[in-house]
Amino acid sequence: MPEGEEGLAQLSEILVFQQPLGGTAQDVVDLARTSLGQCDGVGIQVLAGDSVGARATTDARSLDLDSLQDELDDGPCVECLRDGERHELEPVTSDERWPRFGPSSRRVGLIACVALPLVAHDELIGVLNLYAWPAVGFAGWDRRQCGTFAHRASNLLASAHAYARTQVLIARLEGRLAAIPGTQLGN
Amino acid sequence: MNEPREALEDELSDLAGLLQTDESLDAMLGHVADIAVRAIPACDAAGVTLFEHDRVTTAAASGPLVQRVDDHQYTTDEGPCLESLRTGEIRRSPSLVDDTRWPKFRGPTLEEGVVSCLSLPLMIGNHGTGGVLNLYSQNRPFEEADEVIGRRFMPPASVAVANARAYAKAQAIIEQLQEALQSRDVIGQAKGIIQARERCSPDEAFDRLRDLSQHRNIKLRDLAKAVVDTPDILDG
Repeated sequence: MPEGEEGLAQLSEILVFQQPLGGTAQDVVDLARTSLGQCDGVGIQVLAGDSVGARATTDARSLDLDSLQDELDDGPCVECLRDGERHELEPVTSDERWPRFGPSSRRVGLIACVALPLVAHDELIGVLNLYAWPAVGFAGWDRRQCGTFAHRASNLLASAHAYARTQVLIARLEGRLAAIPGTQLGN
Repeated sequence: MNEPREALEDELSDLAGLLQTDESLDAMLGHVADIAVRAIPACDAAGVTLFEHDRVTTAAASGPLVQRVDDHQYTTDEGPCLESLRTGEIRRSPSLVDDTRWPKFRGPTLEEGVVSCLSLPLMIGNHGTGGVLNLYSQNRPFEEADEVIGRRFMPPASVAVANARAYAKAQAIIEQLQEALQSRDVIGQAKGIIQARERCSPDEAFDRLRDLSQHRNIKLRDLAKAVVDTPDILDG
């Protein structure tokens, strides 16, 4: 099975109830890096309401690039989270579209990056950032492969999030029950 | 019209990842069975058998035939589904007429018009084989090629079932806790009423409530609700 297809197949074999949401997010970025061509580093942000519920990156440089976009409030990731669209930083045009992030990212060796919206049940649930800093030339992203991966990852993360919410609710209900004096379960 | 198999495999993979949070577990398993019928050429009917609490049940089926044939396996305690569940291996019978492996199951199944069957084990969570995707054919044999497609279905189908089942279990726990909490709330209120009326401690109030429940043969929660609604019943 080709690398990309294998990554997709593995994505469909992740059990959402065996680890916290952050663990599933980490599995997603690790699989993206190994299975998507031209991808040297990956970062992900999974939304929980208006804030970020989970973050994961494959390596320190991707973490820096994710953080840099947050700090500068500029870059494809930030724009993707604003409008829910795919945004691509290409080697030549970067400076004009993202005047703060473009030059800074080039200084740390970034050649290209793409921010893919994660959408499930017609709702934006996060962003997947693919980074490229190849030693030799950059040949471009396989758009179809990246799109399919993001789609499948969106479903998985939405499920992991839904399951995580059930665990939070269970803990809250158990806490409330335990707080009622003299009426613990079993009485 | 035949749908492209790749599209159906994608659909199953999507299903594995996406919890249908507004659907029941049975409906979700029904989707898995339906996709199998559409994707595997020889398949006329499909169902998902789950093994839970030492019992096998048909949790979802594409049609009534599946339940009837499954029942023949459960009542005779033999057949491809049960063997697949026990061994964790695929069981395929291209021709039930010529197959002597399950003599008690074969007769009634042939009478149902089923000529061939294929059972695919589902590995659910870390508990080994916890279910089986059963495929039945009334017209043509399940060939090696059908088994190859079925084999590709096993991982995403297993994950779809495992994820959906875990979510359904979590939902059931939430319902139980909410019910317990409502019940405890009522009991807490009733205790408060007893404490106020009888100037006693919380534990004494609870003992009084429990004694009354036993004496009047009324469930604790029902009695508590009655006390909250009509405190005077304590005087009766």
